[in-house]
Amino acid sequence: MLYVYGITRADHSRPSVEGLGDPPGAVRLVESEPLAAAVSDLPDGYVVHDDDARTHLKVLIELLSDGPVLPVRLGTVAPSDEVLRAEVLDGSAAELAERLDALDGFVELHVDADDDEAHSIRVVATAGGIRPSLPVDLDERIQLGGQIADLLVNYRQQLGAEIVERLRPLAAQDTPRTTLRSAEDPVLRWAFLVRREDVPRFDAAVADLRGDHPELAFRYAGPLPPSHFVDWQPGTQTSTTTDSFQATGAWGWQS
Amino acid sequence: MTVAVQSNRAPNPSGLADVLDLVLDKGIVIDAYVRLALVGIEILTLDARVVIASVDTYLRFAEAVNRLDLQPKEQAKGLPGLIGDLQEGGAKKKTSGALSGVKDSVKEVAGSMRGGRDDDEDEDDEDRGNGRRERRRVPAGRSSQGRRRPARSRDDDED
Repeated sequence: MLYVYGITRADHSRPSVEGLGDPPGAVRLVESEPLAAAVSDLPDGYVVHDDDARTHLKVLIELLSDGPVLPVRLGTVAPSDEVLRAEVLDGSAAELAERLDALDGFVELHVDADDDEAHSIRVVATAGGIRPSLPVDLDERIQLGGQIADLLVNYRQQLGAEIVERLRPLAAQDTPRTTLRSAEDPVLRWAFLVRREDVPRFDAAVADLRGDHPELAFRYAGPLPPSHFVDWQPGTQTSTTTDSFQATGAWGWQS
Repeated sequence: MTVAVQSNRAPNPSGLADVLDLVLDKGIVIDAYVRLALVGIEILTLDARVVIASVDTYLRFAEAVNRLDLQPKEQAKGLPGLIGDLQEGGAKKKTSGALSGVKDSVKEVAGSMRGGRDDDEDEDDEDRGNGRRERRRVPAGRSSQGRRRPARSRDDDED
């Protein structure tokens, strides 16, 4: 059977990485103008494991270096080249080509930020005028902790919103990658869809953020395949949605 | 690529959870005559977690406040490691909070991300460490490569 990694244009170059399997299958392109599917052969009954997820992503990243790619979900297989051509490449040609065109020239970047809990508690306790104390009564103690929790959530959401708002002008679209609303949640887990030529500017903006927020630990990854934006259509600019981002009352942090 | 070096952009996400986030349930779904073969990947609810902070979290925060010597920030800056250690104690796993919101079903190989996570209850009498460890069991991917590690490494950097 064929393991399917992603959909590209037919003129895409073959990625020079190994695919899934032991021994690894060679990644090749099954073409049917104007599209191609990046695939490798896999024995029937193959069991997908976590290393395969990394390999899958590696192939997509390699494909991305030569043009737009639509990631296909992990674990997708096709019985043969013919079926893949007929049912996918030809069967959905118009829609797939349209999505590839929309994402042409864009890459996904991830920005994560984590605070140091002790540092943040110090900041919010100081700002909130909370004195060091530990109520003997359990209910009062929980109440104090709850107060700190609320302040922490608010503090982290403000930090996260500030970071997103500084990066958003450099992105075509952005989205949270996880829920950010409890006292145990990090400051930021965000995905940005960025024009490839804007990546250096984005890099510089992230470097500035690191400098401006030494209290935060940043992680920054990319360019990645646009997994969070496969349905994105040009014209849906996020920079115009800043208002709704704030108007939700929870900074647009999704539940 | 000087700029890229300054910004420390990594070519890949570092954690398996982030990798799975990109490839597992995102991307094009091909249905007709093509089937899924995720046989070997066990379902794990990555984000099945204590969403609204639980009682033990509150207690941990309360203890942390008590241990903070609320001096001006400038003076406090030199002590992040010490304070980080101090504030970790106290929270008890046993006062479990309200579970809510099971989200983002994620599949992975059993055990690869869960190993060694049930140790916190043995350390309730210890005054450091267990506060941070308590929550690691649930959102394995998030916390094991999330803020716990960066926070710790930052402490090290500043020492």
